[in-house]
This record gives sequence, structure tokens and C-alpha cells, in this order.
Amino acid sequence: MIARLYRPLLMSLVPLGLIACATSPPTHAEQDATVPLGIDLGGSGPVIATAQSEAAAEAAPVGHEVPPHGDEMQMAHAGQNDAHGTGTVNSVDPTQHKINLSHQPIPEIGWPAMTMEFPVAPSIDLKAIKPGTRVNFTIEQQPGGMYEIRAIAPAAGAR
Amino acid sequence: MNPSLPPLTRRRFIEGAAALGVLSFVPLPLRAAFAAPERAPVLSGTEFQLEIGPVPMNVTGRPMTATAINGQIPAPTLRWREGDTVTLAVTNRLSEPSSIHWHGVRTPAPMDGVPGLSFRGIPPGETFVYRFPVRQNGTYWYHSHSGFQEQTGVYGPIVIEPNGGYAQGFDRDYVLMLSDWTDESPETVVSNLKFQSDYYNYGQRTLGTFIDDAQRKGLAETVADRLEWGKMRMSPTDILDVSGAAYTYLINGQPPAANWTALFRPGERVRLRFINGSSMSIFDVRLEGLPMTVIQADGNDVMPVTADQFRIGVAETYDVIVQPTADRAYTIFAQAEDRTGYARGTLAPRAGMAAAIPPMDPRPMRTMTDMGMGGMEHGEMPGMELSPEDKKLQGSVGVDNVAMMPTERLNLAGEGFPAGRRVLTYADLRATRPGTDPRPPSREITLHLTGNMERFLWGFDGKKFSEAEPIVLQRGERVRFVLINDTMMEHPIHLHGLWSELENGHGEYRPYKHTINVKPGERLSYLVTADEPGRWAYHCHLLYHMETGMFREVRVL
Repeated sequence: MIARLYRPLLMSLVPLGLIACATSPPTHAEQDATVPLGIDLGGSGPVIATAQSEAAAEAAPVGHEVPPHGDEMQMAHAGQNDAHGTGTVNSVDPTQHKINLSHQPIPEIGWPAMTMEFPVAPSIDLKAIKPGTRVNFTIEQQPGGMYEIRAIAPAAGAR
Repeated sequence: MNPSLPPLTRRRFIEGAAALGVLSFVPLPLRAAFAAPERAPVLSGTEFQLEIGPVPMNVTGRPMTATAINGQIPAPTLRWREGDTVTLAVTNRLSEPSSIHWHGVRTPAPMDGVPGLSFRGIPPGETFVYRFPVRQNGTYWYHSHSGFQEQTGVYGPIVIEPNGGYAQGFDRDYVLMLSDWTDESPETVVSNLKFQSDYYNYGQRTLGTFIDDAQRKGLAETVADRLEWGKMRMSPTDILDVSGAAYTYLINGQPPAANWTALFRPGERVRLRFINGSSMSIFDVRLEGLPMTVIQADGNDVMPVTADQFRIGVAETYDVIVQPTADRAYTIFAQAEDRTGYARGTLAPRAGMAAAIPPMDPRPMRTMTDMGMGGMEHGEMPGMELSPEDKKLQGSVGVDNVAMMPTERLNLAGEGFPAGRRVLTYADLRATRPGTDPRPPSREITLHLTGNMERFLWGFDGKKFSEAEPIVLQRGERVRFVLINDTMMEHPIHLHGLWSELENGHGEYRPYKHTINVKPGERLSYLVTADEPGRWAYHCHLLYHMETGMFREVRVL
């Protein structure tokens, strides 16, 4: 009897409820259960004690609970996004404002010696840079992860 | 009802269906019929039952039939322990012969799984039992070595735990197997390539790009450039033979839209084991905003080296450690080298998160250096003469170009990378310990990687497998292989059974590899110790190059 009385009220509330569900912002939009998850094969366990792994472990300690701090390998750029190198200019491309150089190792960011191309900050005048010149330079990581030359000058003793 | 397939949008094609559709390939009827093999994504221990059979697969929205191991693509990750002896019973439920090859794993020759060389293959309905001691550790993979089954799904990861502990610490460990899926049958792909080798190359230079180039480089140089390429009957945009026009690129069997995800807690060190299990696709891999420390290549530890990106040839593996400290998602982005598509996944603190997918980098263009004509960019032809051997090569039907000035470029990553990104090169790979065989090589074996692109014929020294004699090595012999790539494609060259020690300037700390990706116009060398007797396959790991002739037998007496 009472149920019958309330029925119209319920009927009118149901659509309201549906609308509320449909329009309320999804509070857990990130929680998408259909994403296929990778299977974690687990941690390394204790690492073997060789000279090399000790050096590596020093740079990046293994920690299961406490996130390691000051990991130089990964976070060299956390504060200051620049690194310094020395190298020889191979070629200069004024149209694309970039230079190709062979640089020595850049330990700050863990780079070995290699030959690569760099974009150069627009403020730098490329006319002053000649192929064959030995240079000191500063590179800075850009938001996209790319390194750009922010400063460049002939190295001491260069011609 | 009209039986024709539903129309497929380009977006759907590249990105694939969402995860739900893909996961629905689980073949319940098959599972009921042959209940024996375990359907788990990771199998550990020393005894394994594997079954190769057909499964329904739906990557793009079209239901297709794939071939799979234990109903899964990729096949289950096999987790072995160094020092164990493993037994693997492989049953063939296909209607054609099959086989399994353990890529990079050093086994006795009869266990190597190459039909016609190591054994007769596994006929339909039969079981072959592999059994061998595991004498190494690292990341490897396994795949069919029969027909085109590798393209249609018969591939999976192998993770071998070191018996003495890891050299690098990590908190989590994930396998990322990259592959390429096509709704076309492999036979159709080959026939399209034979009909027109640039069938899948939609990036050819046109009148429009000619005008652009002429404005940029000047008309004369542009005309000279086009004539030079025309004379060689090649196109500088022909980077990969089969492109995103046919392929959807997968991470662990998942198309980009499914967003395969690996979880981490900020600050953890996460090991990612990348395996390129594709048939024809070379990938450029990066984690947007997160540098990687490369610690292993082809299953062998290397001195840790930091990179923003690496290029991974077909069949190669790279293990990296990343340490994301922020509570955010990172996109795992693996562009096909020709930039016609990508595989994508996410590294995230929680399931369901995603970061932006970066735009693809500019498409690489082949240069005259890639053509083995380094230093001849401006059309001058110094008084250069081909050697008599090269001249003989040039007269062969299977050879449309001979690199006149092949260059070693192990310190360069290749074409197609924006300036300023730190890309791993082969010269960066330095083994963590000296090689086991200090002897200098007693002889050199020089091989040209050759092709006739228009006819889609590939080979070593202008000869197809069927025309060539085996390369014979004496047991225990130390030899140097010199490869000269006369073609404008990269060729990941895989020598079965023996290590290839790349001579990359690190002296006795040469990296040990099983697959070496040779750039166009490149000359490189590696040392081999013939310490395992038997008949070994030696081939380009681009499946259709292997099938069309770039394959030799190396016989260790």
C-alpha cells in the first residue's frame, strides 16, 4: 500500500539519478580496468660484488622501500639542466642553426665521447664558429628531452 | 548479411583496437581441446610443454587467424636459470611443419631448431623434445624458423637468471617484446614486394618535394641528386620494406590503443627488457622525458651507458634501467624506423594512466654515405675503380649496387634522429669483462650484403642461399667476419650457435652479440670462435630478406 503510494515518487527519482550518474565528473577517470598490465618478474636480489657493480651501486643504490636520493645517473639534471663539454666542430649548418661536433666524454650526464649534431640557441652567432675549431660548450636539456647548445667558445690553445 | 569486412579507419588501423578486443582472442575451444600446455604468461622451471597452433586474433577490429604458442601472442615468457638443463616438449598443432629456434641461446647444433640444418622440423601432429644445458644468462627470445610463422605470431621472450646474481640492482623487471602484425597474409606481402619493392613506401619523393629541394639546395644539385638516385634505381625514402601501411606495431601483443602498462613506485629502479621480435621492423625506442641506462645488449652485460633513445634491429635485445622519480606516467614510444607507425605503452604509478604520445620524428632519408659513396655528395667522381671482385659482383642479377666507399660508422646511430638527442651507438657498447678468446683471428671472411631491390632478391655476395656453398670453419678456429653492406637497407645479421664479437674499438672488451645490424653502405667486422660443431644458419633477420635469399650455412667441422 505504502509502496504503491511512493511509486510515482520513485519513478520520478530514478531518471534524476541516472542523469546525475551520467553528468557527474568521473572521479577515477584514471582507473581503467581494461589496460593490459605487464607482469613484474621481480627485483634483482643482492647484486654481485664486482668492482664495476660496486661503482654502479654507489651511483644508484638499490632500495626497495626508500627511494634512493641523489642518484646522479638519472637525476643529473634535476636542478641544473646543463652540462659542459669539449669537442671539435665538424660542420656548421646555418640554415637549420645547428652544428655537428665530436665531443669528449661528458661525465656529468654519463655520455661517452661521440659525434653528434646539436641545435644551437638562437642567440648564438654561428658565423663565429668554424669547422675544425676546438670548442668548449654548454648544453642544456630542453623540455622535450633534447640537448641544445647554450654557450660555445673556442677552447684554450685553439687556432 | 553482407559478409564483407567492416571498413577500417586509418586511425583504427595504426592504433589497433582497445585492449578488450585484443584480449578476446583467448581461444577457449582450443584450450578445452588440448588442455595440456599451461596458459600462463610466464613459465618457470626446467620442464616445459609448448604447443604451436592456430588462434583467433583481432588486432585491428578484423577477426584473423594467427599462429601462437600455448594460445598466446607473444608466447609465454620462459624463465630459466643459468646452470640448469631445460627440457622443452614442442607439439605442432598446425597443418604445416613447424619448429622453434632459441635465438641467441648457445645449444648443441641438433637443438637449434632450424629445419634442414639442425633437424628435420616438427611435422603436423608431432612433438619434438628439446633438451640442453643453459650455459649463459640474459634476455633472449624464441621463435619459429619455419615459413612465415614468425610473422603470424610464433615468438616469445626468454629470461635467463644468472646463477651468481645480477651485476645491477633493480626493484622491478619487465619484458617488452616489440613486434609487427599484419592482417595481410605473409605470402601476399612477399608477392606485393616482388611485384613492386616500394609497394609499402608511401613517402616517395614527389614533384612537390622536388620543388622544395630545388629551392633549398638549388636546381642543379637537386637534379643531379635525383639523377644519381634514378641511376641506382632506388629511392632514398625506402627505409623499411614493409611499413605502417600494412603493419600495426605491438608491445607484448598489444597495439598502441590498448596502452600496455608497466607499474612502478616513484624512485624505484625498473629493468625493461626490450626484445625486437618483429619480422621486418626496426624501431627507435625512447621513454619520453626519462633517460635510460643501457646495461645489456643481446643478453650480455655492457658497462652502463645513458641514452635517451636506441635503435633496435630485428632480433636484437637491449636491457635498460630507468628510475622514474615523479608520480606521473611516461610514454614508452617505439617508432618504426620509417616513421609510418609506432608501438606504444606506458610506465605508470597506477593502472589507467597515460602520458601524451609524442609526434613522430622526421622520416630518415638515405644519403650517398648510405649508398657506400661517402664523400661523393656533390657528384664528383674521383678516379675510382672497383676491384675485380666488386666488378664481378656488379655483373650479377642479384646485385644492383656495390658500395664503392663503404664506411665504418659504429659511432653514429644512423639517420632519422633529431639533433641534440642522445642516441645509443654500437661504439657505446663495452663488455663488462674481457672476451674469453684472446687469440687474434687466423683469417678473414669478407661478405657483401647484396640485393636487387626492384626484383626483391637478397643475398650474400650476390648469391641466394640455393646458389651458395656453406662457409666452412674448422673447429676451434678464430675468424674475423667482415661485412660490407652494398644495399641501402639495414640488415640485422644473425649467426646461429656462435657469438659475434663486434670490433667496435673497445679492444678485448668487445660486446658479444648474436645479431648485428649493419647500416647501409657500412663496413664492419666481428670475431667468431668456432667452438660449437655443426651446421648453423647465418642470415639477415628481416624475415622476407631471409626468405628471398639472404641466408647462408656456416658449417663448423
